[in-house]
Amino acid sequence: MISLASDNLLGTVFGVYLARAKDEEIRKIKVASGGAVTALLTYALEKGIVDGVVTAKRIKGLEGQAIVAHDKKELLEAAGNKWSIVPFAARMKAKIEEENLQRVALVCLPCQAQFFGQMRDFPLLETDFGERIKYIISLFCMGTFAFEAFLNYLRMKYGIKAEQIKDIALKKDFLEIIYDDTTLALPIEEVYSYLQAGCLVCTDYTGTWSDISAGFVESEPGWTVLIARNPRAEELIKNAEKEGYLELKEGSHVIGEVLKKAREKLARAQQNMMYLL
Amino acid sequence: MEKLKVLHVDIGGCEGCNVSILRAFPNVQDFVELNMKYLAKKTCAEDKYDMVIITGGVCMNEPHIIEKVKSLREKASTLVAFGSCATFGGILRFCRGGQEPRPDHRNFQPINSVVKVDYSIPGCPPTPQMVQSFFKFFIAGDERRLRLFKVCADIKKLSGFDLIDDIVLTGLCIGCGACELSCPTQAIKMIDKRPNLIAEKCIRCGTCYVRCPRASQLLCMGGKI
Amino acid sequence: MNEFKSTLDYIPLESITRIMGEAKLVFQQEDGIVQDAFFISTAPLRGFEKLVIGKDSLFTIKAVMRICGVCHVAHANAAAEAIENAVGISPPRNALLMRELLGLVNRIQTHTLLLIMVSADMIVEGKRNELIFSLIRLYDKVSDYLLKLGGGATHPPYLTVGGISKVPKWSVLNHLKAKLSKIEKEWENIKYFLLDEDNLTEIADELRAKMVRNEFLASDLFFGDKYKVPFKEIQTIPYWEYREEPRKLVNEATVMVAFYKGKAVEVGPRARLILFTPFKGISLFGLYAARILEIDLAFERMKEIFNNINIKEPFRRQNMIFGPGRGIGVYEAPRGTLFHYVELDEEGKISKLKIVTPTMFNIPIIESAVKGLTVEAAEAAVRLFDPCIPCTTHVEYIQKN
Repeated sequence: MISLASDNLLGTVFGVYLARAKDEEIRKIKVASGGAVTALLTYALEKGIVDGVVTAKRIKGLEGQAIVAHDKKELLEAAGNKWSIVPFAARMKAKIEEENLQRVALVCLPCQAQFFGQMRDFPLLETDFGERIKYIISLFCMGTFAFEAFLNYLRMKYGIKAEQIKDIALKKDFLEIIYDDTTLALPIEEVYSYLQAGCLVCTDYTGTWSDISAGFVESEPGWTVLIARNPRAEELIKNAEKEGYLELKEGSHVIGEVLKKAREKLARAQQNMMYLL
Repeated sequence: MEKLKVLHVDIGGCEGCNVSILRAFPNVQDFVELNMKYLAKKTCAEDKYDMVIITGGVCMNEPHIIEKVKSLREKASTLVAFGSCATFGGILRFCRGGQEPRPDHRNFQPINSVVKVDYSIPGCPPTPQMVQSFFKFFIAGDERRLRLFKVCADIKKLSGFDLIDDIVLTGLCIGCGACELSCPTQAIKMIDKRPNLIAEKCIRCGTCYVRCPRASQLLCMGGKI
Repeated sequence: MNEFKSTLDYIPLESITRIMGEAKLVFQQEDGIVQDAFFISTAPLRGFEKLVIGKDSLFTIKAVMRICGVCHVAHANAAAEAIENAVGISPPRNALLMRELLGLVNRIQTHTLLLIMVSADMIVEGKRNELIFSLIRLYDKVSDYLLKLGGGATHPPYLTVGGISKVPKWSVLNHLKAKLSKIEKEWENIKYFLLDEDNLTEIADELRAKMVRNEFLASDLFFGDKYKVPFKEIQTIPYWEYREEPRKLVNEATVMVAFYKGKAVEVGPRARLILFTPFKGISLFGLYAARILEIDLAFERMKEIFNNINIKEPFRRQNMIFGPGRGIGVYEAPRGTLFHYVELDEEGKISKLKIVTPTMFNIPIIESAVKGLTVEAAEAAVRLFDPCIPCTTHVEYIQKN
């Protein structure tokens, strides 16, 4: 039996902020979230703090592809909910090496943040490229889909084809599938079984190995929660505000809400481990 | 601040790990007093070291090696197994003896088969940067970051096969591809978003296992899978 | 008769420091002058020849590379050649060039490590640390070549049967080629420092005065040539048959020693240079100078190879069929001529592997070369031969003498 420590579920928390983009263009595209991550990365790119942002872009359905964004335009093209997409670590590496990037920001999920974070802290292999990773930004994550299975379910039950899907978003206890001009709200219980089994035993909601964790809470719509995990991350966020990219407010009052979600994920993991392990 | 007194001893490996430690030397010398055979006139001269790093596996048919490892444990406040041979057995798992002039040298074990190990750092070989990082977090007392290596210290065997058995065949793999990037012999290839192990290339170093986010998360939670 | 005495002040673990691996050096001395010497490797025998039996040739390359963490490329090259020879594959030209290139990088790595380890004998104290740091920096820089082209600075995974498993990118090759002369310049400075009379110790002077005329064996200046040194002319015997007394001491040895045509021969950088270049370093100091000169030559040859690799041509042989056969691979490893002999069974799996390493040849040479030296200089001379214990403790009978 695995005993899970519920203390320190969120990892090291240096500072918690609520943030949104000052840029209207970003805000328009990212209404729900406030676009803070996009704005923060735009700042880092434009000021030359990083020379590339490696992230996932949805190409069709739920399938993602690792891309390198060099400016705001490319960032906006990649924007969207990445929580449904897992790009391969090897492709991310290939991208970094192809373009010979030296200071990269990665936007990824907690599991990838853990891998890249561990690689950066503990370069076990000579082929590791941790020293090139400047910032790891992890998005809050409740799990990723086994997407062929999930897409097949959508097709069979609702007649939705992969190429029709424009976006997928988590709203309260519903998963909203935006396809064509319609929105389908599925109760989260209905789709849980289409999450990858590995995600069902994962205990990390925020990405404790990241520099910055980002995500939403229901009580503050239009704002992004940013958790800075070290002074370097804090500095980046503060400077982005100073330079007029971010609108920032103190966010420690929402940490309880984040923690609640994290506990939910932990409880789910605990329950599933009993079956799966 | 007083320097950390560190002794490195190799008990019969390929020297690759030793070279890694040597290469880290210029970058750690400000906070570590490193005593190793490549540089010293004498090693192991003192009764007590803050840390002893052992590389290579223990030849179970050679009593003087077993004795040596035990005496090093006595000298060490913290004992670190460095490299896959010392941590999980690595390539030495394949040894079967029978070779002249010493056919009796048949069995090699990781160090934790003989003594209690405090931290195990796998890799074939782990990099010089790893040595640096480890000292940095050790001196800072960053338990959270060192947790994985602490947990590994109680594990005697990990390899690509365990990764496949514990994570992939159980359906826990999410297809992130960390293992593919972590294999020093390129024994793992992602096929349809799941790792495929080319069995004959796996040298049992265990790097993929500790690098798998799912596996390392479960390990760190104290779960033996 | 004097008693046997360990060269060093007594070390609890009784091992000689600053060599690769675990060994014991015992001198019989009179008034501080060495009369007789025993070089006893005490490292446990991992038995690589045995552990690959029944295994696939892909595994064999991965395994033999792990015999030695210093000269990994040498073992991979020799084993690959032996297996290819056994099944009648000839790797494409690019593959041979890449192997030679990676081998030369590895040669620079190994010689650099040796120079670090002998610095305490050869270089006056005040200047040592600075030298060690610059040698480690050089090591890091050349290792980058192995990392980028071989997939790892240690045990490079791209080396395999039939050629190179991953074709290098054109941009990477060009980048590395362009960087080479800068690294070479850095080496020039180190070289100057290493040979500067003001930096050298008295031990170095003593070695310079000691002439040793050995029989030399080398097959090639860079790569290795199995047709020049027939494998069947090599005999190996356990150390304790070569030196029978004192029983208790020689019994500890875990190595075999090797002879060529029944004679002790010196292999290594000095042998290569004396046989294939006008180099005349027959004093023991020549061992030191030869390594320095070989680094020079390696840089020169690397440049040539970079110009000869044709990225458009293949790097690995296609359609390899594995079946029964016997093959020999000979490679000029950093420390001397390395032999791999392999037999494959009906399924193409390994049924026999024999490895003869340079140090097996050099042990008898080392023991006789140090006679007449002071104890301190003798210890340094042993190091200068760069005996490699991990490699040597994996070797089997070939023919009983």
